[in-house]
Amino acid sequence: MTEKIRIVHYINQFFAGMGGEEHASIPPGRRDGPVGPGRALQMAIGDEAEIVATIVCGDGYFSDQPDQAADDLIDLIVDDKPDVLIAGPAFDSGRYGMACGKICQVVQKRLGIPAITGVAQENPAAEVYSPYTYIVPTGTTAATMRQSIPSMATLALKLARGETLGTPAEDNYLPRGRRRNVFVSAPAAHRAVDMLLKKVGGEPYETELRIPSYDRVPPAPPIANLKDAKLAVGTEGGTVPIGNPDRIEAVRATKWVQYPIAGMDTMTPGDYESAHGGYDARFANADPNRMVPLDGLRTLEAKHAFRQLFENYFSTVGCGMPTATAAEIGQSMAQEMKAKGIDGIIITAT
Amino acid sequence: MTSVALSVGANRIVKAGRIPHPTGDPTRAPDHEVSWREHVVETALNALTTPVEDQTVFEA
Repeated sequence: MTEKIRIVHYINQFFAGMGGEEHASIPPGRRDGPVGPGRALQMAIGDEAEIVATIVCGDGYFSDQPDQAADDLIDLIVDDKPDVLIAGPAFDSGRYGMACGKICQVVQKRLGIPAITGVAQENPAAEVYSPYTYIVPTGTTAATMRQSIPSMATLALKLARGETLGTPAEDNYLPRGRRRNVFVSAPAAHRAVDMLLKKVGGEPYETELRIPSYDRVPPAPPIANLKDAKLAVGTEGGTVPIGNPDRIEAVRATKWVQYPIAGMDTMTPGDYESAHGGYDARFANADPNRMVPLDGLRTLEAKHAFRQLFENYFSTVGCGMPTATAAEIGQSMAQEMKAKGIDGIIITAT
Repeated sequence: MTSVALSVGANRIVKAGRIPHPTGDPTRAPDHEVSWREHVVETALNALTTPVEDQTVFEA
């Protein structure tokens, strides 16, 4: 007989029966075998696999120090040699969902095993972590536990067996934004016309290309007193010192960078180049002020239009970048700006 | 690329140069290009100090 698939299950303090919000600060811990919802999960999974351990962490503890909590949890399970990790389900609980998503992401990366969780579509973890892990959509409350458990069990077993998954609709997980080449019988023109006819006829049809929906951010209040403001300048046009010292990627960049401009009146041609892979860089290379308008900013700074220009300029490459990455980069830049007391930024876009 | 800025949700947008040179205009004489760029930056400063309720495009 082949060995059983080994599963580790992650739950929060509430589902471990340790208490509610008043116990949300408990640190990571480990128990042998299934606990709480893990028992129902074990029944759904059957004999093919065994929940060998349950790891638990308070939601508050995890959300206060997610990196540390994930590290500690992994240390607790590495000796269990799991084949797959299941987290939750967390339903619409925000902190629990984020913890489940994070532990799945980290376990996959560090232990090289698949991981799944289950959250409601409304849970912020659904959007944040669906690109990184398998998430079974659940109802919003634990009353839907009975419906969620079998889907999660099936998905976890498939992944642990190394089976190739079908589409998100076929195997009941949230789309991960990945593309896979498949052979289909009808050419694109036929499929497009079929789809159009169905649409005109009011019949259901399924698009082959989902158009991303962008979230909307409320406008920030204006700078009240510009003369007293510290401003920054940045670009997504990939302006970097010659040689691209931080090796920022020409497409699908994964990072942003900052380089000094203190004491400089202009972006000197020859000192900078564009690392961006999506536009003709000759104009910006001939005069980098066309991408980072330092000369104009210095003139206005000298006229006291504003108090001060921040000592570095910010740069990234906005080319083929997934919106999720762009949002992460934006948030990271915003944190840096807040930490450095910057009141506003001008970002040029190509 | 004002249309892209609008579609991704930027709230204060300055309509300035072209894709490869948003704050440049190689068709102008160098002196004129520098003063035009200063004007673009001024427009951006104006955008930063203008209250907006929704996505707003400022013409440089």
